[in-house]
Amino acid sequence: MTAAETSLARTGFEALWAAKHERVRGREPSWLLQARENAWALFAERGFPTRADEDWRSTNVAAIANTAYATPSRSLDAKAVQAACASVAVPGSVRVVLVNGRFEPSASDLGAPQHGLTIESLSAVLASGPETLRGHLASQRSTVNAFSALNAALFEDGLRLRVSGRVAIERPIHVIHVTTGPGAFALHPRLVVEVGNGCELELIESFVGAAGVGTAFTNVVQDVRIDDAATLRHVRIVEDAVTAQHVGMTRAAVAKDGRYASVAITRGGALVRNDLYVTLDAPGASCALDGLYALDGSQHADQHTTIEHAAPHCSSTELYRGIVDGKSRGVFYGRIIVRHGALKTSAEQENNNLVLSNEALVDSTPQLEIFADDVQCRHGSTIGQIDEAQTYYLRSRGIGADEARRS
Amino acid sequence: MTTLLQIKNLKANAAGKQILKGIDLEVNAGEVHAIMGPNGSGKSTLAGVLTGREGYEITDGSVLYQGKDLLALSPEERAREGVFLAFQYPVEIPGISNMFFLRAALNAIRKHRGQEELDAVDFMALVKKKLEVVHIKEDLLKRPVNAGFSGGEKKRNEIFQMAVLEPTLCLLDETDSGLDIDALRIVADGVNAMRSPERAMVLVTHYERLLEYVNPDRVHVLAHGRIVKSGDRELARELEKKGYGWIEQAAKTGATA
Ligand SMILES: Nc1ncnc2c1ncn2[C@@H]1O[C@H](COP(=O)(O)OP(=O)(O)OP(=O)(O)O)[C@@H](O)[C@H]1O
Ligand SMILES: [Mg+2]
Repeated sequence: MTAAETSLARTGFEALWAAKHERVRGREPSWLLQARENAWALFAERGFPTRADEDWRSTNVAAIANTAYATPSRSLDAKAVQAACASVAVPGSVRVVLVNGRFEPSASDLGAPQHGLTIESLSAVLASGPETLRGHLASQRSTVNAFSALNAALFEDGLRLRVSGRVAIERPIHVIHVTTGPGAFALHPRLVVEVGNGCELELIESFVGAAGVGTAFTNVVQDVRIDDAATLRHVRIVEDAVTAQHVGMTRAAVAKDGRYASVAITRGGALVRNDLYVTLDAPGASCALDGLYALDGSQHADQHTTIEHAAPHCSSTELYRGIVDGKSRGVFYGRIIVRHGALKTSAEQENNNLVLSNEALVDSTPQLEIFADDVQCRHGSTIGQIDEAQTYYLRSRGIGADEARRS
Repeated sequence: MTTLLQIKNLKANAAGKQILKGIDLEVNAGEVHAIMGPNGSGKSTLAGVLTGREGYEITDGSVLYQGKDLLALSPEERAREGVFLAFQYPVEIPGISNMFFLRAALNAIRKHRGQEELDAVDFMALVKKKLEVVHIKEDLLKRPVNAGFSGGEKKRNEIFQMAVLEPTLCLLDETDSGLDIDALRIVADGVNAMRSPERAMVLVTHYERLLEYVNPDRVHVLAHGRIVKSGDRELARELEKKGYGWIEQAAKTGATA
């Protein structure tokens, strides 16, 4: 991207920022306004990342930088939203629907309250007791790149999920992010998840486009806190429309004996970039990160994960698998940092890819940074290709050409 | 007796070069035929053409299988109709387990025949029975298809697949090459166990030894893209003694005469 393009992109979002600033000034508490202004200043200073940026070497975001997005439409086509939700429904779950980044009670089904669990929309919390969000929103913790800064400056709504009182929540919470409406628009939903001491929660997030949706750019941030001996199972499924752009930043901090189990599935979207940053902050903390990306056409999906072992006796496993077909491109970047003093760390990471066509590409970079002794770390990455002889072998056994390429 | 396979004047090119130069061959149900011939004479090419491998151009002739035009079918349709090739060089497919692969193959064939697909439990029961026939260790099934298999294991795996899929026309391309004597016996036993009045087998081989165990009904010599001589069991013994030179010589003079 040239300098001229970068500044053009900034002007596109500048208008959105000016409007946003106008709307919230005097209505939101001053600390929040300050946080938004700081985040915007950071974004304005950095601009969108370019390929020269090491972290963005494999992913070109010019398509996002060069689009003039509107704020998303607020009139909703209830039928289309309903159909989109039905297409990803998880039986037995609590359904929480965000339409274009806003909580939509009419499409949601919260069921009977579950003891120990609170589900609130961020806008409701901001209206009633914004102070309780100060820790999350005023900290720079999530403002780690241009996109999360943009989210911090522009976010409208989202959810806060809290579990407390040493309970295991039985029904999974299914958050469905639906995008709908014509044209190009951007949304910046934000989730705050707090799993208190000894609690357990399963959170499933689906990202889906309603029929006829234009070019939706979803820029989501999830802030996850897992307290002592708590467990969160967090599934994220990107099934956005083929025109969609999706950038996600998930930060999870895991306390003593806590566990974070993440499953990240990417099937949809034209351009997808997911950052997952997990810190294991105290002894006994663990995480398991699993991922699957199955891409076709001209899709581009980039999975960036970082696991930071900040304390001794923590363990992590990571397994991401990818299948790329057509002219698609899959990127896996997995970084494991073992901080000084994080003795007895155990970390395993693996990334396996299957390339189904000559024009599809995979870029896999596992990276270990170890600053402690007495650790057990293992990583590996494979890229396999199905060639003509293999396809013929499968077909000669009765497995059809298409299945042969996909099995 | 029903004719299962009828090849007439089959000519085929690869990379612009004529390799099959007019093959004629008829195989009846219940029969076992052996095809012998020098390296590079076109035996694997014939097997490839019969199973629909890409890269060959068929310039003349016809192949009828159960009275149908075999060459008009895709490789998977031929397999589902009961044609099976045990490969000279079975390929490795990392990432797909042998079990998963074989169940997918069997179910594709069963579906084609209008039979119910087998679930993992029923499939396992079937597999256990067949494993005994070829003396394959169960853990080979859990590994990716042929990946890291020894040469002999790969060949036995081909026979194992044949036993599970129960094809009607079995083509074996040098399944006996590279096997030790015990493995050769196992393969021969597998072949004999599958002989039946409805089924036909065509064995491509360089060695008379296999034919001692598997008593073929007919023996053919393929040289320079043609079947230049056919006979019974005795022909194989003669070849073992005298080599191919005398036949190639005779074929050449025959061809120019
Ligand atoms: N795809 C191809 N492109 C070019 N040449 C080919 C191709 N396939 C086969 N040939 C050639 O055709 C000839 C016959 O090959 P084929 O593999 O059928 O021989 P074969 O009788 O099976 O020999 P062997 O006993 O060594 O297995 C060889 O000269 C081979 O190089
Ligand atoms: Mg051969």
